[in-house]
Amino acid sequence: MKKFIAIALALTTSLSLLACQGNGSAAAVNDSTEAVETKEEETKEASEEAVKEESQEAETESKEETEAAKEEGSENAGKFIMGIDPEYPPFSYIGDDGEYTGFDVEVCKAVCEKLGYDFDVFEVNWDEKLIQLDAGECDCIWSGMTIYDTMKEAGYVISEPYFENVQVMMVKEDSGINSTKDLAGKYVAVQLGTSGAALLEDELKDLASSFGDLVTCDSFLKCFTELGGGAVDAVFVDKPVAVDYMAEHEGYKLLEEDLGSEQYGIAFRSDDKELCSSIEGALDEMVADGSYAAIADKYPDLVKNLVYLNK
Amino acid sequence: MSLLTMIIKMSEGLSRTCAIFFLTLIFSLPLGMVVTLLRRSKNKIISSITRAVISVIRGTPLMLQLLAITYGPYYLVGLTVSRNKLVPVVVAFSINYAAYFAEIYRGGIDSISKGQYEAADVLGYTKTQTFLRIILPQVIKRVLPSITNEVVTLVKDTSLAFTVSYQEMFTIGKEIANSQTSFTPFLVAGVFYFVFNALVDFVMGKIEKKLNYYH
Amino acid sequence: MSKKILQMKNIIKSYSDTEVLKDISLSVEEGEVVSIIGPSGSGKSTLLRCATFLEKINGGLIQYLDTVAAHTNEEGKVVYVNRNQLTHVKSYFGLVFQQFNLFPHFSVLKNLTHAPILVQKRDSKEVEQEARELLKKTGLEDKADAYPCQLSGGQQQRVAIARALNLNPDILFFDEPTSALDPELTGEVLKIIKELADEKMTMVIVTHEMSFARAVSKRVIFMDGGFIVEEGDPEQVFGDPSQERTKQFLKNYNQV
Repeated sequence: MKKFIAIALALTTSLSLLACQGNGSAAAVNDSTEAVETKEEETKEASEEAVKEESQEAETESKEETEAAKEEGSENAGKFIMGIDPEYPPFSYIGDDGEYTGFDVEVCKAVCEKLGYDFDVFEVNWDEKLIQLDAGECDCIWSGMTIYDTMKEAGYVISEPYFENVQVMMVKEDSGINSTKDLAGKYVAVQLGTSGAALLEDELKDLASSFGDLVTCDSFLKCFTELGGGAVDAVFVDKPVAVDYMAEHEGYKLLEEDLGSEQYGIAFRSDDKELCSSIEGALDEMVADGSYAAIADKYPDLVKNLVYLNK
Repeated sequence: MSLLTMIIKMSEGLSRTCAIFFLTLIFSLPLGMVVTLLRRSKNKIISSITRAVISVIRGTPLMLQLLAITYGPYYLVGLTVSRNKLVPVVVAFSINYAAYFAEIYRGGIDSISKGQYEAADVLGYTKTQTFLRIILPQVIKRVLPSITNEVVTLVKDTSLAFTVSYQEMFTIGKEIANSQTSFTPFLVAGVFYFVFNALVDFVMGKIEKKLNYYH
Repeated sequence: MSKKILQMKNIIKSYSDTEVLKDISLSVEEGEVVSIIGPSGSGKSTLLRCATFLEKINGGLIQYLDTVAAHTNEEGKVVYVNRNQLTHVKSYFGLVFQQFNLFPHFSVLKNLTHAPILVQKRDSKEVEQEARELLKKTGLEDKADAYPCQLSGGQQQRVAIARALNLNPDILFFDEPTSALDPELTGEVLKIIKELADEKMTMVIVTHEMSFARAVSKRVIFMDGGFIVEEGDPEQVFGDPSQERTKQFLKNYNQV
């Protein structure tokens, strides 16, 4: 039965993923001038669009401003749409009850309650998340998002990092692979568009070139399936994701090597500085009153990476 | 990354795209005919099983079948997942396209008048001779436009191999797009597909014209 | 007494509950031209289809020359000869269809030569030679390389006759050969059949062309309701029918 569910899950996951995999990801570690130029152009276009939609947004903005002024006001301050990747456990995913959940989602819900927003979720196409943010389809990207310099250069307002992520190499326990050196000539899987993939293309290029083959999958589940099925020998993946998977599946281990790290933050539109600081303020309050830790306790694997709890 | 580098990188994947395309055609075109014959079998059990299988294959997305063929054996019976993804990709594509071709062939065979069979029978042709020499050539001519449609779709469908991480042209394009934050690879992919299909159209048009000597 | 090419005895044919042929017997001698007339649904086409094995009989015997192709055994079941023998028996006869049924993807010449070369394994040069002669005889020598779709209905039917003849059959069946043709084109087909009759070709013709049947045949069979109602010399059957039903049929026919 479990197998059946796993297959069903794999199938649905990949279906929605394919729908999501689109284009121009913001996951650009590569700070070549070209990439920045593209981003700037996009921002320009987006701001033009924003002008068009001014009348609509003006309403929301004014509400936000009053909200910021009121600070602890509890009356309705309008809608706050959280942009998430619904396939990124444990930060944002579809829970057992079919509703969106995850650490980021729970925190964002609590923040909205605090600030009097109507909480809503928008599933972004991860590759186009910043364009969708600009287009006003959501008010932030808050979904285990890695902060890149190019985002800031392109004018997006990025919150203080709230999570520090480590990339790890996951292998089978009995594989005899104990360090990245043992990976020479081996097959390694990585998820397309993730920071792991970017690292292997850039900072870890030499390591990547020692692999027998680098297999790019479109979801973590497929990476893990390739590993389980013996098609690859290792998966390069975000540590929390790997730990999460290993909690439910036996026979895997992580290579104890620091292969790179990244920070997660929340992205807002360029003109939403106040919104960003009001949310950062709310997070500080939650840390102070212990409600942040209460949520974090449900995600023990994340705790030691959460910047707010380790200040 | 310059446009040229992009094109060169994506061209490397083009050979894999072509491999999927040609291998799928080589296997699915005859397989479709076998399926049609099973579907038309006088044995009720064989024909209804075939019908059910066709209906499942046509009623589910190709992407799902790709996943099922690639990972299904691992989840169900613990078989090793194939390292060379071309194998499961071609198997899944061939089965899927055979189902479509089978229905096209069936329509073509049904459209041939009973008189052709009777004339051949009276002239002494065996069943096999009748099928191969009299019926099949006429069926091919009749179904060719529908086949062309499917072949054009197949060119575009090769991009689905991405689902199981087979590094064909579109997958590489996606990877470049992701790492370069650029839309250009998709434009390049579009041009590739368009040119590929223009060639397909040209070749199929030639064949159609060649068969156009009678009505 | 000349030899019998075809003998059909006590033929019974039924489709589910309907009996279409009820105990029909027919034998055709070498050189004989037999016309079968009758209203539609009388079973005359079915009789031809049973004779040419396009339909299986439910009872009776079919014999070509010395070969019994089908007969009813002691248990009352109809037994056909095996496939190889049946193929051989099929070479004794030819059938010309109402709808011509030429092979559209073959040229006229190939329509004539394909079966003799493939089925009878005859020498292709010799077959082609004969085919060209037959085309000449049917007035189609200039159409050898044409395709059926380029021909008129009358021309197509002439090709169909030539195709049947090119297998050198001992007997030729015609199933309403002019019914699908425009009236002005029937003449050219009937002319060919008349010429064949003059050459003593053994033929069985199911037809609605009464005057033609009267002129060309040695014997006329009137069928109705799955029975042979009347059989005899054309002058007798057409001029002085003995059966009331024949009279009625011919009367109705003449009114039309």
